[in-house]
Amino acid sequence: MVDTPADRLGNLARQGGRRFWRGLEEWIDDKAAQDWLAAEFPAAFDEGIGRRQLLKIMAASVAMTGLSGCGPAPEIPAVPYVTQPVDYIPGMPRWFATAIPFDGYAQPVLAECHAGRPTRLDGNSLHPMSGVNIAAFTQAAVQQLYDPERSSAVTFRGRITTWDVFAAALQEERHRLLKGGGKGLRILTGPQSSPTFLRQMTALRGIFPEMRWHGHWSVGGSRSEASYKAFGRVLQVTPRLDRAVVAVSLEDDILGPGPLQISAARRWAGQRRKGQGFPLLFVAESTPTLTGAMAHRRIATASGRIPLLAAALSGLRPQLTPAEAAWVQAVQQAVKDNPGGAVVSAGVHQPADVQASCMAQAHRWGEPGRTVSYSEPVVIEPDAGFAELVADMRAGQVRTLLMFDVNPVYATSGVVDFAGALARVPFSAHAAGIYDETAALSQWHLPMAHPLESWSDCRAADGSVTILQPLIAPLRQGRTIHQILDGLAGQPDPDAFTPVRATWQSKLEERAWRQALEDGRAPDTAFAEVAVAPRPMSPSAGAAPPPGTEVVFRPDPSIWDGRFANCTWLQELPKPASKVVWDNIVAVSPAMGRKLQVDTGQVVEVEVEGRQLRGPAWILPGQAAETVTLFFGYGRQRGGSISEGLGYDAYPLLPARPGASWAGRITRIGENHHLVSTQLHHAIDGQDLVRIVAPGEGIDDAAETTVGHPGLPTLYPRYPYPGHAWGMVIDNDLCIGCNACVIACQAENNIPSVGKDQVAVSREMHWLRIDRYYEGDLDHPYTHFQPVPCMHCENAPCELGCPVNATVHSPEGVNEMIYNRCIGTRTCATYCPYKVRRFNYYFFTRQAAPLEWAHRNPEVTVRARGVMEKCTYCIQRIAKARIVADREGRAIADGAVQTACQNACPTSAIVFGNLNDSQSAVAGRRGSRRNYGLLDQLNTWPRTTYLARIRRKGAGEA
Amino acid sequence: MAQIFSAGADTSLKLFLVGAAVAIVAGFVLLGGFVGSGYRTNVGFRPAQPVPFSHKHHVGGLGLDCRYCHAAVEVSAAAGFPPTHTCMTCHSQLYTDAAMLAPVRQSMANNRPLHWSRIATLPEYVYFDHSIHIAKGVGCSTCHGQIQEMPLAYTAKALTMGFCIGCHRDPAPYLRANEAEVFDMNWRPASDQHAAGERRMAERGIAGRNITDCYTCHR
Repeated sequence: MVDTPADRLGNLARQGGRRFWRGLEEWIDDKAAQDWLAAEFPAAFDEGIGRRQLLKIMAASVAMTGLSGCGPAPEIPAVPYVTQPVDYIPGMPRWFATAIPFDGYAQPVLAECHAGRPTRLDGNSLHPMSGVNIAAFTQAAVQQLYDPERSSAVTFRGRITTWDVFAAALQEERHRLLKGGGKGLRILTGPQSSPTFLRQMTALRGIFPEMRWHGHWSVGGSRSEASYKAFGRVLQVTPRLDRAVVAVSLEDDILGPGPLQISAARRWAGQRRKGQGFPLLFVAESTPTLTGAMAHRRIATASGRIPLLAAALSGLRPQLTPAEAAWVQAVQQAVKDNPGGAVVSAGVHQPADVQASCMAQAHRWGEPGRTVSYSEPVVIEPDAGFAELVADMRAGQVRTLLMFDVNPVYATSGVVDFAGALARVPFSAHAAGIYDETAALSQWHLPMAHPLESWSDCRAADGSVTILQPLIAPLRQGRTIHQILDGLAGQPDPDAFTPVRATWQSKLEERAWRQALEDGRAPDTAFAEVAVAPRPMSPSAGAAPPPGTEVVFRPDPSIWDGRFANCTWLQELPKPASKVVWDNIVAVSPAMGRKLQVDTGQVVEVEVEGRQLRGPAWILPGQAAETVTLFFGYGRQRGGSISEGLGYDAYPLLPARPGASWAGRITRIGENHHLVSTQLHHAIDGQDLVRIVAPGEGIDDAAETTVGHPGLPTLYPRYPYPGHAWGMVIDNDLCIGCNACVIACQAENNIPSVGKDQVAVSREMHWLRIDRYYEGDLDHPYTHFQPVPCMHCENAPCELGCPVNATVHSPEGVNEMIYNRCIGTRTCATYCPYKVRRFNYYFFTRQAAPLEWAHRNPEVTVRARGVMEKCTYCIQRIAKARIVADREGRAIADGAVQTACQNACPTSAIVFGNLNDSQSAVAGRRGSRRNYGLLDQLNTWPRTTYLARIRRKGAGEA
Repeated sequence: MAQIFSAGADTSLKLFLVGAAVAIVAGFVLLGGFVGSGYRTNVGFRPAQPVPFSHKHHVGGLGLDCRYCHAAVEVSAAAGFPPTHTCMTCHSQLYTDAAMLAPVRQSMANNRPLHWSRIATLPEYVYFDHSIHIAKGVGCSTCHGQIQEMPLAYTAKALTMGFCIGCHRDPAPYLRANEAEVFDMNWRPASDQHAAGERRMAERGIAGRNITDCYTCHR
């Protein structure tokens, strides 16, 4: 038992007693944490209201309720169309294919539209890069669309003005520029792949030959230099995890958040689903990532030592630590055992030489075109980089600067004084969806249309083009980048549609154009694979980094570079490794925590090149011993009231020169920061929550008698389910912990965000949570993810507890929650061994701004204060499918009901369906020898079960 | 020692007890009356509409089918209200300058929708689906009453949970034979309705199913 922080840190050194543990508190048997977990109502806390005050409020509310209960129903208007669109059926959603661009890559989506309001996004099932799957970031686009703090007016020097005034100013500026052939005209964008943008830039270069286009990468960067070094041309290099048997990641978070996550995760799952534990992932990284969590063999090593590992993999003999050498040897053995089936990839932040040598190595290891594929690059190379732009701005060579959807004042190294350089530009205009730091310092700020309000086009990971079509007229008088560029080209009144249609005029005649819009994918636009040969390269052995602390920078897994900072969904999304919400952390290793006597939550000062910042430390199991990781995206000055004032800003510490890691110092400050993490919330008390088997092996049969079979004795009769028996099986072997399902559930089921203070007392409302378990030792743990929705127990303890029958069982085995019956005793929640019930302590849904009401799903009740809620197996989707099938007099086909979490999951870890149908996918999984129920010893007969994770022999930590 | 209780105390107590009993009974009677009253159930609710559309004239008199205007009723949860365009299919030819129809013409001319008032409303946590009721043979008039006799439409039946569940417990008396009967506003159950209804339940897959389960209507 541990009481003081010093004891805690001292105990980090000892061997933990448990095999699986959720956090340091469990590793070291923290007494306070255990007391907190053991409390009957861990969420009960002091609201700052006295007893008398509470009674007064209660009396008043009773009186008010009585009054408001009387009275006739209000008049509810019905507002039909004047002319109804041909394919519109009142009460039915319509679906439109479009895409959400993310760092130049289209994320194909199908948008659900209720009476003209986009309410939710799914992946585009016709698109091979996404299928129906969709990442958390992409889904949050709907919340961004209805963000009441989106920029709503053109401003000039901070004062509100109109588009007409800007148009006039732009025309004036244009005439001035024409005289000099466009000298001094600069355009700054993020990564772009839009053919219309490319066409417009070509046209603009005809008008302004001296114009230059600069690209700004807020995180990561381009692989163009590396691919040029390796193959002599700029290429899109895609590791084919669907074909590879051995995959080596040198700090490349292939499965982690980012624009390529969905396509990569789908490929990985394609191989993984074969059940043999392939691809064997070998991961070397400094900071735990989702890829690392899926690793067969992971090594935590400094980011600065990755080049050494790359050199070792290409046959050189750099000086390695014994652990590194063992890891390299294991990789080489695996490659030898699986000839032609290996691939290797280095992180985009690693030096181009290292990336290039990995690309060449992957080419040597894999059979041609099998484990890695090459195509034209999706993201278009800009004329020049960001550094050149800043140099020119300082030198006074930039007269006119147009910035589109970038925030360089915030998302730039602290050494680069972009704000100072911007002040020297006579005409600066910043177009973005939100009035951010850059907007405040630019002369003009222009509200930009949201992708769901825009005509545009964008290439997906395979190069195929999706035409973006608007689902709603701009809510905030935003315009698209194409409109503004057309204005620059001299169009007096540019509209959004014409420039995009013009690009495709010759390639898609009207029919094909409409088909491309309907499909969400223009035909014959995907890039063909190209055959290449690596250039001869002399592999460099790489120099060992100086000993001591290294500092690395990463995008935040939930907020990225800060562009999602005003999204409550994403702020409240527990970050996969730390489960922290509403904050960023300074990740340090357990060893460093011991050394510095810094505990989780204590503020540390990190110094790089003489610049300092302070942030809360987080002792992260699996972090490389000497690595300090800082996360971008927080510490926003402007960007909406949700984003401001949270966390620390890592950008000022970021050096200007490119690199993967920097020597730094970290010191303990000592004060505490109130960090909120959900890692111990809703903790299940029990054994064998995570199970692991070898390929082909089943869970011990003797232990597996209670799930789905008559098992332990019970006094209750088994209820027959002659019709449908809905059930879900979650394959732990496929879950990468990406959180897509959590946001999908939130979007589908109108789940509110509750804020940091409420999460701190376990009141988060997510119906589906992802439990993260560590296995093994503190410095090199395995990581397991386990999504936990309601188990829909056939023998449900919660149902016994409810005094008003507000939670009952359906004839199809769904554990129902009837909101209008619930009186809020919370008994069911205390009876639930899985801790999946959520209570509305406040009227969260009424506090939302009216604009936010628009993205609620009309098929799901919006819950009020004082009622319990939980996963319903997306009962609205079951009801809809049943009605359609029933109307046509047929059975519900397998797959006709897909839950929101199942749709979103890029690895198909979640399967839902009718257990009574022996041909259904879910029954197939249920019959797997890997199938087990959580806490099945409690005799709850859960309808949601899990498949054990597969681990091949030889897995181990270096 | 003085008397504590006066001579009339007994009577007062008896009166009080009787009064209290009457008050309690009367309270329940009033509450029952209130719960069932049109004030609470909206029965008889006849709001003003932008155009005093007469179902009596259009349905009862002219014999228009319900689906001419409420076109989504067979395929969607919502029956749907007619777009202005639907009104104008006839009224661009008939009564083209009737003052009563000015709002319709203005709606068409200005592309501004008409704002009707609903007369059949359910709480937000109730998910009623028109299409499945139509498909199973529940007629319009079962819930909406004799719309074809209403010059200005009003709420004819109390759409309470008791009303819904009464039918869900025993649908047989309400199931009609075929499509024509479903949309027949003058439908009256035949003498063998209960037997026929039970036969229809079996044919249409309603028999043996629990349609009183909470999630049938609530989600």
